[in-house]
Parts: sequence; C-alpha cells; structure tokens
Amino acid sequence: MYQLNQKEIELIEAYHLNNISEEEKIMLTNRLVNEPEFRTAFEEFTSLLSAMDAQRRLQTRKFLKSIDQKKNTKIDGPTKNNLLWMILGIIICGLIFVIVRSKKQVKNDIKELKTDVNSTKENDTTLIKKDSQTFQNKTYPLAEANQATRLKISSKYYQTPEFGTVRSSEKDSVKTKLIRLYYEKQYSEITKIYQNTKTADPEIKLLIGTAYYHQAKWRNATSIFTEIQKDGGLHDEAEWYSLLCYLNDTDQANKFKSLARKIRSNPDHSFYNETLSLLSDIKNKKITLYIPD
Amino acid sequence: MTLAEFIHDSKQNHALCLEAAYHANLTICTSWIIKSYAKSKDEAKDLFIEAMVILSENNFKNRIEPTQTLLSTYLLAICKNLIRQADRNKKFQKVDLENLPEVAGAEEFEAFGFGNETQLKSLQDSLEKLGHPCNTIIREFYFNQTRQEKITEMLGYQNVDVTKTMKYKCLGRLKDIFFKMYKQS
Repeated sequence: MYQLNQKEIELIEAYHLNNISEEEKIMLTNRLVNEPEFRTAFEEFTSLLSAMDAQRRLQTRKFLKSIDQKKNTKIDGPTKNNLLWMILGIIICGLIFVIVRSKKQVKNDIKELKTDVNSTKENDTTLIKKDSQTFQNKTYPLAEANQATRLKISSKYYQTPEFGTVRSSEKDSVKTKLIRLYYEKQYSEITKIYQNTKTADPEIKLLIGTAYYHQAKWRNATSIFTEIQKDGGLHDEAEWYSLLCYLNDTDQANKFKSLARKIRSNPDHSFYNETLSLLSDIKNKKITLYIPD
Repeated sequence: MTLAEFIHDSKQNHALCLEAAYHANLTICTSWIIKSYAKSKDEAKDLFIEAMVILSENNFKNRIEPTQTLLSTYLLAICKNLIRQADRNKKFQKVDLENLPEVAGAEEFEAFGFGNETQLKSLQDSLEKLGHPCNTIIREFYFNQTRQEKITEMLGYQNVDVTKTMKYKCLGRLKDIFFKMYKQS
C-alpha cells in the first residue's frame, strides 16, 4: 500500500479545495495516469476529504438549526410569562387606581360637605354684613364713570312725570302755561317763568325741577326737589329725581350714597325697586365710584 | 455586514460570526423568498439555512472574495440558485428511476460512498479512535473551522509549522483507520 508524504497530502488537499496551479495540476494528472498505487491512495484521500466535507456541512446545518430552536424557545417561553405578568400588572394597576380614586372621592365628599356647612353659615352672616357695608365702603362702582356713562344710566331710569289735567278755572293760569311749555320741551322758558313767580304747588315744583333736570342744571333741580321733600306732597318722586340728579353731579356722590341708602332701607318707597335696580346696574357695569366719608 | 467583514470575523470566531450572520439576515432572506417564489415560511427557512451552510463551506474553502458586497446579497443569490436547482430536480424526478438501465462503474462509485450514512458513521468512529491530539486538530481545523494559529495556541505547540505537520500526519492516520472501518462495515 502506497504511503503518501506531507507534500503529496498538501497537493491532494489543494486539489480538493481547487487551490492548485496549472503546473501542479499537470504534474498530478501525469502521476495519476502513470502510478496506479498513487492513484488508489489519491482516490482514498479525496473520498476521505469529501466525507469530511459532508460531515462539516452536517455539523453546520445542525448548529444553525440549534440557533433557530434557541430563538424559538426564547420567544415561546418568556413571552407567555411576560403576557401573564402584563395582564396581572394591568389588573393590579386598575385595582389600585379604583381604590385611590374612591378614597379621594370620599375625601372630596367630606370636604364638600364641610365647606357647604361652613359656607351656608358664612353666607348668612356675610350677606347681612355686605348688605349693610355696601354703602359704607369707600369704593363704590361709579367713581370712575364719566359724565356720559352717568347720563346713560340716569336716562335709563328717568321717566317724565305725568302732570294732572288742567281745570277750566285754571285755564290761562301759570300752571297750564308751564305744563304746555313742558310738553313742548321748552324747559328754559319754564325756568325763566319760575324765577319770576313763586308757587307752593308741589306738582309745579316737580315740573320746574325736572325742567332743570332736562337742562342738566343738577344743583338747581336738587334744590327744588329738597323743597318739595320739606313741604310734603310728592315726597317719593322728589327723592327719586334728586337721586338721579346726584348721580349726574360728580360732586354730590356723598349725597347720592346717603339718599340711595335711605330709599333702599324703606321698602314702602314708591321708587324702592327702581333704586335697587339702579344700584345693581351700577354694580354690573363694573364702574367704581370713590365716595369720601 | 459585508463579505470582507464576514471573512475577517469568521477568522476570529467562526461559530459566533455565523450566528450573527444568521440573525442579521434571516428575516430579509426568508421574506424575500416567500414574496418572490411563493414558498411557505418553513421552506423559506430551510432554504436560508442551506444558503448559510454553503456560505460557511465557501468561506472554509476560500471561495469568497473579500469584497464590499453585502452578505445579504450574497445569501440571496445562493437562495436563488438553490430554488432554481430544486426546480430542475423536480423535472428530473418525473423520470422512472426504478427502470433505469445499469451503468458501468456505479458500484465503484458507491464503493467510495460519496456522502452516504455509513461513510459518515465510520468517519465519526474513526475520529474517536484517532485519540488526542489528532482528534482535536482534525475536529478544530476541518469541522469548527478554527485557524491553525489558534490551534497552535490551544495545544501549546511552538509554531504553526508544527501544527501543520501534525495535521497532515493525523490526516494520514485518519485515512488508514477510516478505510479499515469502512471496509469492515
């Protein structure tokens, strides 16, 4: 049996791996043709190398499949557990959320109840306090209102007073003349006549007062209205129109304050409701009025 | 990963490099096979594994050029060839194999047993019989694709030449044992 040396084995291996030069190839083929013993040894050796190739391929295939199995087991095993853990986690979180929320709700309910009780108590007292203090406060919602705003508010509440029917005996008297002039809106004429003739009739006085009012002569108007208040008769009307005059006269804010308080404290006053709505209107307009004490 | 990188990494640790390449290219290749050739998921995976085996084999036999070509492109090309080969084989399967005429030299071909099971079994037995250090050298170099330098380090030899000489001596011994066992079986 032919024994191959190292060089020959190297050559056969190179031939098997196709790493052989052309010269070596020719030399090898010559030997294979001429030396039958060498040929047998060559064939045996190449078949061994082929078997080893097959074994190597098999081993690599097994190795690659083992990676795949490892990957699969990695995915199958822990993910199932992970899913279970996730579901458990969600349930626990949900429970905690519900418990915490219900506790908070109970706390809030108790707080609300407490505040309700306190607020009702406070409200009662504060409302009373507020009611009495609104006019005592130094600031009042008309302070910064300009003349136009004052006029706007007062004209909303101003209504021309109705004067009684003129009797036949009174025809061509001063009263009928004044009333006619009033409806003709000749307010300056009325005031001129008033300066010449003095009268004690509260109705005529009211007419003259409102005539001053229409001319924006607030001081003159209020002086006549105070006269009516003193004499009696159309007392409530006089007070109401004085209040409107004070509203328009920026210097009379203090008087406005005291008169409004007076009317407000008397629910039987003919202009009680009007006064209340006038005050709330001033408040809603959010205009502040500084009234010095 | 490029082919050059694969070759370089494979020289360091072949198994690790092969595993990395497997993970990096599995999805790309299998999805491509499924999409382009209407194969099932399992078929696509089998084809990919076969392509990886060929890659490993070509790397061992220095048949891959260290270019900047992507490894995935190389593997896809192998897969394509494998599919075409399988299609060709299907056509051949239609031939009645049982009634084929006997061909002279077929027995001789079988005597050397190219890739049959008995041959592989006798190879494994002969490797076990070979003993240390030949067993280690052959296994590491031919099956685990470990470099000769590393084997030298592993076995504590003076230099690579010693390992080389030992390797050829061991191959000679293996051949003797292998054919003795194969003839017996």
